[in-house]
This record gives sequence, structure tokens and C-alpha cells, in this order.
Amino acid sequence: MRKLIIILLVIPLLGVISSSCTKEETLGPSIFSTVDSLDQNSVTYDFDNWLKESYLQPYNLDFRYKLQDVGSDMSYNLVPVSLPKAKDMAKLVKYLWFDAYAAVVGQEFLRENGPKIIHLIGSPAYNPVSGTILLGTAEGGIKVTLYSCNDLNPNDIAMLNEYYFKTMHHEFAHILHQKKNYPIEFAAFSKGNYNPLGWQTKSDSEAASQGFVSPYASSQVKEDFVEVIANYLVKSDADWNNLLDMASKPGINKAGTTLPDDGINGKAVILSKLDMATKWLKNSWNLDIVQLRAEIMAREANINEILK
Amino acid sequence: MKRIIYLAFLFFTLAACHYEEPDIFSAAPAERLTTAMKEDAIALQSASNGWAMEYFATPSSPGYTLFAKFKPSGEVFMSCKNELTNNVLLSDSSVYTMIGDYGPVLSFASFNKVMHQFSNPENPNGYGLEGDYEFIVLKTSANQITLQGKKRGTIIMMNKIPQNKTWNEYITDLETMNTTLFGFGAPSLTMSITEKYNFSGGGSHIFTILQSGADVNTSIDAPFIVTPTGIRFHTIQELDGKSFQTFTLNTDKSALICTENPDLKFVGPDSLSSFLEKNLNIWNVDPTKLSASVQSTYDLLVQSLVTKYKATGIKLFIKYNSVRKSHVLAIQFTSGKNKLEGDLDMNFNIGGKAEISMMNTENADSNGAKFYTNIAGYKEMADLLSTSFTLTTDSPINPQVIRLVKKSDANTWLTITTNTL
Repeated sequence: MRKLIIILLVIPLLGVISSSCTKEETLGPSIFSTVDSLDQNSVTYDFDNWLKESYLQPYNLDFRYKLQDVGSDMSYNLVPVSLPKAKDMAKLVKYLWFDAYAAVVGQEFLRENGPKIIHLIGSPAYNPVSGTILLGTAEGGIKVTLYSCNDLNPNDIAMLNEYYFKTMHHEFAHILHQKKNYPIEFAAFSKGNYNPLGWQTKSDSEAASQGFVSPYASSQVKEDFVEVIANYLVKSDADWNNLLDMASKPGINKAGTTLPDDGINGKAVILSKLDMATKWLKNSWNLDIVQLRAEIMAREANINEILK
Repeated sequence: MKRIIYLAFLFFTLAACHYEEPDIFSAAPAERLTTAMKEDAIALQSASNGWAMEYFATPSSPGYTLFAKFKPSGEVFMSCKNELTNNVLLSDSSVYTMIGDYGPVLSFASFNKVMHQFSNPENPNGYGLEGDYEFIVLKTSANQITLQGKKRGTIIMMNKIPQNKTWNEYITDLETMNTTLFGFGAPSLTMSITEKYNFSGGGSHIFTILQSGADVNTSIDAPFIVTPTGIRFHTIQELDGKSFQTFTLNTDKSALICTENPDLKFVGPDSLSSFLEKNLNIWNVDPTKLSASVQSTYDLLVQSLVTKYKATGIKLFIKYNSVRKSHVLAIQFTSGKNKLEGDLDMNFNIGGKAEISMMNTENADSNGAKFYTNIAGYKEMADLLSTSFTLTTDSPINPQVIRLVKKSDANTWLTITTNTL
């Protein structure tokens, strides 16, 4: 009897178990697209395909030109980049930035350390309260956002450098020092002269006389470090020498008043900072900044060719 | 034994628990979102003549009509014409995408001069007009899509444009309606519910609503958009417990009738004579709409001005001269390089809601006095108008053309207009 009861119990139990097993549903088609995500009928197909071949495949980089506000800083009022400007910018960034680095340190360096997302924004990111605008941001060593792309003028090298490529180098230098920190001794060069809140009131001359390559460099040590690299890479010999010359003289503030001697040899400080940054790039990243700068300058002379 | 029976009972109970509720939805959330995005894209592309998008940048901004045609290729062609474009037609093409965000979202993802003029922070002051360019698709039907701005939450209706209507014709309809309702120094509109309410500032497309007799600090603002048939408030308004949002201009142009509650309506000035008396516009005498007697006097005046001054661009009009503190019958013309004007004071007296009397005072400014003496037809015209007139208009909600018929002689009449002749 006991056996019979156990058998009676086991049979339905097995039934339940087996029915559970046999009722397993066969999986339906994937909810995600398994084919090429590019739509050949799209008005942007050719450009998207070029981006895929030029950025996604060699660098695993998502070049975003279609603005989704969730991918931006929602606290700003922004507009997207126009399609023609996005195309020009994509070509310029590849030629003047990625290809320049690749020529000097190889594609692998960029694959390992380069940004994984470049996001273009059409307008500046205004901060109306402080009267400043953001030209670019780097987030977590992954994403670089470039603003003001609708103002792109490919014929104006100085503007290209000031608005975009200095920003690119600046943000990339942040990515690099977030991976391998810069020498702590760097902070000693301008100790006591950093001002995170009042930097925008400084003139170029005032900042240079204190040993900064730009007013923004005087905001924080890490900004100072990356500004030295970025400014050195994009400034022509004449502009760099002008900066050093300005740094060797007493500063003149925005009101036009010559400031009293602060005892700082601005030129010497800037050159010392550049020397430390140069050695750090070479020792930490095997990157020759002088060679990279020469490569960039050579490419700048040919940008009209790549925009054809 | 008992324990075994309990165990058996427990097993069967568990087996019963195995059965699950059938899925409420037929597909996974991601699948449903993808399907909804595809369906919304098809709905957008279904308007072969495009959509009229009733756009509000923020809940406190006036509405503007934008035109959009969505192509299956992901390209959107847009146009608009309004005061932001200096009333010049502005058109541009760009890229749109459907994205999965808060449900299906329509994103104008590349810069478009038409759409992004509302979100460009450069104009003005680093803030811009703070409008959205990403919209949650709330509802679609054959002829209308309802969107909601993602950041600002504005409700934006897109109405399918009929196949037989060009965008230019649609714009003309909007401009005509706007001029009819708010053109040429339009009067405030009023709505009587339990209380009487004054709706002023309609020309800005943001009404300032104030209860009659109440303190001005109690006023509220209500943005709206002009439609081809009337106006629509951005959000449902409520006064005295009555709700209203959409209004249609009636056929005799005397009122805007509420669609949701036909008992509610906007009307123009209660008294045409008071309106004319208090109005600060220039009221040109329309030389093409005069009775024979007025016409002959007008022709005499014009001929005399041409002979005496070689006058061109002659205008005869009635206005209130704030310096002289009087209504005047004015002549204005160009002679050589000089633009001349002479003003003759006319007393106005209101006789009733649609009746006004004028009287030649024979007082004038220096030019007016000179013309009064030397120009044949000026005194005659002033004397002809020195009588009582019955007033009528073909657009009572915003009188821009008023016909004055002599009370004692229906064959003597003239037409005055605020429109530029």
C-alpha cells in the first residue's frame, strides 16, 4: 500500500516535472536586428557607411552626429549639428586628429586609449550665469563632446584649432592622464595661482605672465596640464613664440592696465610645464609630441583636399 | 499514512500554482516599442502633403505653425513664415529619427533652421526660446498626431494638410485669420460667463486675461495659436467653472465660438461708435467706396491738390490728434520732396452704439488752415461730414472697415479703413 501511494505520488510529480520540461518555449526571432543596421534607403546611408568604415571598424568608435538629448547634458539648451557640417567635421576629425595620431603612434594606440564616442553638438553650451560657453567635454575617458559645430568654417585654421582640435587634444589629454596620472610635481609650477571660479576674468596676457598658456589653464592643475599639451599641438610656431613672448612681459589685464611685477617668469614656467608634459607623454605613452605637432601642421596645409 | 496524504495534497496544490496568468501583452516590451516606432513613422510619412505643426516652445510661449513633410528616407522638409522669420518664408531639410525613449519619440536629430530656431541658445542671451526638438508621440490618427515636447512638456498638434491645399495657401489662410482677429490695433476681446472677462494683447498671441473691474495684478496669461479657422489655446483654460480651448470664427465675423462649449464666445467691441471714437488708428477714406455726392467732393479736393501742389500719394483720413486733443480730418500728400499734412479739428459725439456725429470746428493747424482756405473741396468735405452717421462693419470682432451712412440721407455714405490703401 505504502509503495502504491508513493508510486501514485511520484507519477503526478514526474508529470509536473516533465510537463515543465516539455513546455519549454522555442525562442522566437531576436528582438534586436541581426542584419546590417544601416538602412540603404536612408538619406544618410552613404555618410553612415563612411563613418562605419572610418571610425567604427578601425577604432570601435561611435561617431554621433544625430543629437539625442539624453546623450547630451540636459541642463543646457542645445541644437543638433547640421548634416553638411557633420560631414565636414567627421572628415576633419579623422584627417587632423585620428590619422595624425595614427601616423605617429599607430592605430593600436588609439584603439586602446582613444575615445569610443564622439558626439557633435551644433550650438555652444552656454552658461548664461557665468557668461562662459563650453567648447568640449570628455566623460570618463570614453566620450568626447564637441560643441559649436554649426559654426565650423573649414577655411579658418585658427578657428578650427581654437574651437575643435584644441578641444579634442585637451579632452584626449584628460583621457590619458586619467589612465596614467601626470607627475605630481607639475602642481608645484603654479602653486597658489589657480582660481577655479575667477579664471574667466583673466586676460591672455595676464595668464601668460603667470605661466599659463591660457586663462582656462589657470583654473585647475589638471586643466593647466592638458592646456599645455593642447596649445602646443595646435599653435603655429609664430603663435607659440608670441605666447612665450607675451609670457615674458608684465601682464596686461582686460581693462588694459599693466599689472605690477609678480616675480614670475611666465615664459620659463610655461617651458618647464611643456618639458614635463613632453617627457610624460614619451615615457608613459611613447608619444613624441614634437613629431605629432609636425604631423598636424603638415596636415593642416592640406585640409581643402580632404573636403572635396 | 496521514502525513503521506497531506504531502499528496500539497503536491497537487503546488501543481495548481504552476499555472500562470496569460501574458497581458502579446509581445515583449522592446518588440512593442519597435512596432510602435515603426507605426508612428508610417503615420508621419502618410501625409503626402505634409503636416501643419502647431508648435509652442514652452507652455508660456505663443504658438507658431510649422510645416513638415516626412519622407521614408529619414529626411524632413520644413517651412514657416512668421515674425521670427521677418515674415519671410523659411525652408530647410534635415534628418528626423524615431527613437525609443519615453515610448516612441520623434527626434529632429540634425539641425533644421525652421525647427531649431526655437531651441537655439544663441538667440537670445544663451537661453534661446527654450523649445523642444524631441517629442513623445502621444496619439496618432488618420489626420492628426499629438506630440508632447520632451523637456518642456508642451502639447503640439500636427494636422494633416489636405491634398488640395498648398502650404502657401495655408499660410495665407493663417495670415488672413490673424489680420481679421488681431490686425491693425485690434481691440481687446471679451467673454461673458458668470463674470465678464477682458482678453487683451491678442496680437502677441498671448492673451492677458483680466476679470472686468478687477485689479490688474490678478491677470493671467494664456498663450494660443492662430489656426486657419480661429484660435486654439495651448492648454485648456477655465473661468467660472467653464472650460475652453478651441475657437472658430463665425461666418459674420462677429464672434469666436468655443468648439468644446458653444455657449462661450469671444466678441469684439460692444459699441462701434465708442470703438471709433477711442481708437488711435488712422482711418483712411477709401476713395473706391464712396457715394456719388461724397465722391464728387473728394474728386474736387484731389484735383485742387494736384493743381496747386502737384500732389501725389494723396490721403484723406480721420484720426485722433493727441497734440491737438481732437479728432481731425487730415490731408496728407507728397509735393516734390516734401511730405505735407494738414489737420482740421472735428468734434466727435457718440449718439448710440452705432451712431456718431461729427462737426467741423474750423480750427486747424497751420497747414490745415492753409489748405482749408486754398484747397477747394477740403471745407466742402468737412461740411459734408458734419452730420450724424450710422456705422456698420463687416468684421465686428475687429472692425477694420467701417461704413458711415448719413442718418438723414442713405444716399450719402463713405467708407473708412485702418488697412493701408
